[in-house]
Amino acid sequence: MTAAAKPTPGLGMSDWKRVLIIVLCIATLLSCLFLVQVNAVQRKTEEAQALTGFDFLLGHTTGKSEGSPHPLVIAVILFAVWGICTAAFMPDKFLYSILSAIFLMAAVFLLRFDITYQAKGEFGLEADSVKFAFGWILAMILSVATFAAVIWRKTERSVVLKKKELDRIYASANIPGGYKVETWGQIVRRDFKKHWRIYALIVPALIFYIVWCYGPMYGIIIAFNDFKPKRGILGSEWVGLQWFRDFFRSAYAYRTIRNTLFISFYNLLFGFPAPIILALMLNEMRSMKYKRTVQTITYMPYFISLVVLCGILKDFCSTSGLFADVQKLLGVESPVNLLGDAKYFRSVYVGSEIWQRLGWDSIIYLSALAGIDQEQYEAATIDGAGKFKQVIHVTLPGILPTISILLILRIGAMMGVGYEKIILLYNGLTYETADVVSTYVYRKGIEDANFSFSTAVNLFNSVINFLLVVFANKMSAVLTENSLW
Amino acid sequence: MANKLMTRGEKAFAVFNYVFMALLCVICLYPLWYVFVSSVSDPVLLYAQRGILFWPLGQWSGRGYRLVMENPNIPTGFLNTLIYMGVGTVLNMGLTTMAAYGLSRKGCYWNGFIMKFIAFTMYFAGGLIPFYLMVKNMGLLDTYAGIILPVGVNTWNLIVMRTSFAGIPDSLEESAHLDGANDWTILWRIFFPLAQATVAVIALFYAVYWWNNWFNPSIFLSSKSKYPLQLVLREILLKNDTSSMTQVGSVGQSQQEQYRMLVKYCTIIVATVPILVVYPFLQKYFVKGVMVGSIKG
Repeated sequence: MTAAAKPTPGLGMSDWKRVLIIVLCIATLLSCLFLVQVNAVQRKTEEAQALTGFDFLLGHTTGKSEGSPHPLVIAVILFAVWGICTAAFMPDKFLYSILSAIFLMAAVFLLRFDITYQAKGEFGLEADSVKFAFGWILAMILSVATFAAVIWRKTERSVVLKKKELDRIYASANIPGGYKVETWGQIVRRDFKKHWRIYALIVPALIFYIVWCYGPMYGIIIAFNDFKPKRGILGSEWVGLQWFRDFFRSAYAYRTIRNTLFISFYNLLFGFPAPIILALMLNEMRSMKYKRTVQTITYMPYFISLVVLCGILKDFCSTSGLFADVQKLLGVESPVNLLGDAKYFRSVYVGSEIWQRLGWDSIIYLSALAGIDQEQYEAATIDGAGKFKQVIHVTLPGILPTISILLILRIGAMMGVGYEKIILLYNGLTYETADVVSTYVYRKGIEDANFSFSTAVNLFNSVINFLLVVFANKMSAVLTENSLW
Repeated sequence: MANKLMTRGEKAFAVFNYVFMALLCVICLYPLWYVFVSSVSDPVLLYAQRGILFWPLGQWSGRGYRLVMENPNIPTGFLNTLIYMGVGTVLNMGLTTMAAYGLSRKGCYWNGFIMKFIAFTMYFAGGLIPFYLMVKNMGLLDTYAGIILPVGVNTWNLIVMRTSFAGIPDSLEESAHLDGANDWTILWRIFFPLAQATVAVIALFYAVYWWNNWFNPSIFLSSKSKYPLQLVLREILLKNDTSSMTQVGSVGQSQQEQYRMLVKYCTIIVATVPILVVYPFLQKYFVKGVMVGSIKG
């Protein structure tokens, strides 16, 4: 009976379609390398001395990029290897196989534009067009075949699995067979016929996501080339990892990453416990009227718009503003402009952040506190626990899940300090502590129109962010059995 | 009952708690109060004033407000914000409810995949420049559409709405289907009214987004006639763009600095009061929104 516990029995090593997918992936990979080699051989005759063995394989040399590997070739290799691995080791994860096949196709497709453009741009000549076209078409056919094989395998496999499942059910109920099993294609067609109205409702939003979320993702390509608006995204000259190197060699990399981490860290250190403490204190208040008034008033700053908040801050921080007056009252001889001195920027930023969000962020804890079983308090009282002990042993454990989830989310967003508030508050004098990665991206990209460089820095930041979120979510899943997906 | 059980330490804490809360309220309110009393003060006295302010200086005067009203950018800003807010919120709500309804239906083969496709955008985005180039390439720079279209759906709101639609019993949908209603009718006649509270909360969140929106307009718009209110405020409050606010002939050069301060405070009040007036009435919806959002999507 233990066999019944496994509803999806593996098909075993005899699954020859799996082998086919692997072979096709390898073939695509090889054909791409052939393609690149054709291109490189062509060039070698022109600029023999410029090529090293490494470049020969990866087919990418421009003076600028210092022989960095061609990003698209790397992409092809990565996706092919990914496809091979999923087919070999995770045969049931069809989504991964399908995605790897799609990405593989996309990378091969882009390779054509890239290499031909590059050859033209760099050496003023066409690549060996016949061989090149042959190689590219071969690679394209192979990658499409990979995709088709994955879909085919899915179709067949779902039928086989369903048959096994039905066999088991029929056998256990002692009913003789005689059923029909749909193929994947039939399932999809029937589903579309039945649900097309529902899909029609989703389509407008889907178009939005494709155009405005995935469209810009396609634009990330410019992080790897020297984008010139006139030549377009694919037509601009490829420089590989040049911009990333430029960024990490500049002093800005250290400064912006450090500032991002510091601002996040201070915000976490002071901004995270504050609403918890407020919620605990509000929870201890007996007068409901007073409690509600305090809540209403502390939520209020949240509704002041960012621009107005920063306007108020700038005014208060100036040498003739409220904070300067307060400083004078406290005996400071010559008050400083708090926003004009790098020393104070983080304090002003974090302080105003707390001021604005304190009450608002406490809502979620208050609702968690309201969910604690009152009987636990009664039991604790009977056991002789005082108020303080009740807080420690009943209240805090009660809201611990909420705290841990929010904490993990905050940690996941460590590198994601937004630019909006900082752009409004900082100035040349405070760049030293205020300039975070996102504001640097903004300045380089929007103000200096350094599109490619800015995109590269942003991409670096996004990737780190993404990894942090995934990591935080994994942690959350392990520690609290609560995860975002 | 509880009072009898209070120990001395607990009493002390209760007193401390109440005093602390009162202090907190003062801290939350005082900046706004300061701005308000400054805005009705006498500009000359205000300029010379040092120290903490509790009451307006000199005679109450509405001079600053008159100057603000005479600044043509502010009514235009209000109008533009209303346009962005109206059209934007309607578009957001349309896209979000339709997609949320569709995605909450069970038994649709692709819904799981589409959900993953959408959720991925919460964790990874193209970034500022590719986004900017996208708007630019579509020829939407400096247009109303360029501000509204790129923020069609907020994924978080979509997930919240989908969760609330999924909580509506299937039997309602089935009986409606039997009565011959199609999905469109079911959405507008049954689901929309039933999920009213969530719909209101989400609409509110979108409206607040449009009210606060200044960044996208600041990079996409070049003509001031299309500026939303927040961007006008930024010019006045943060960029010290006084050219537009002291056009009044009666104000001499020497008084400019004094009036500049006054006008700043008045502008803040004019731009904040609408929100703070409606806020207490909408508070419970906002709070509900936070709660709804905290449920795992």
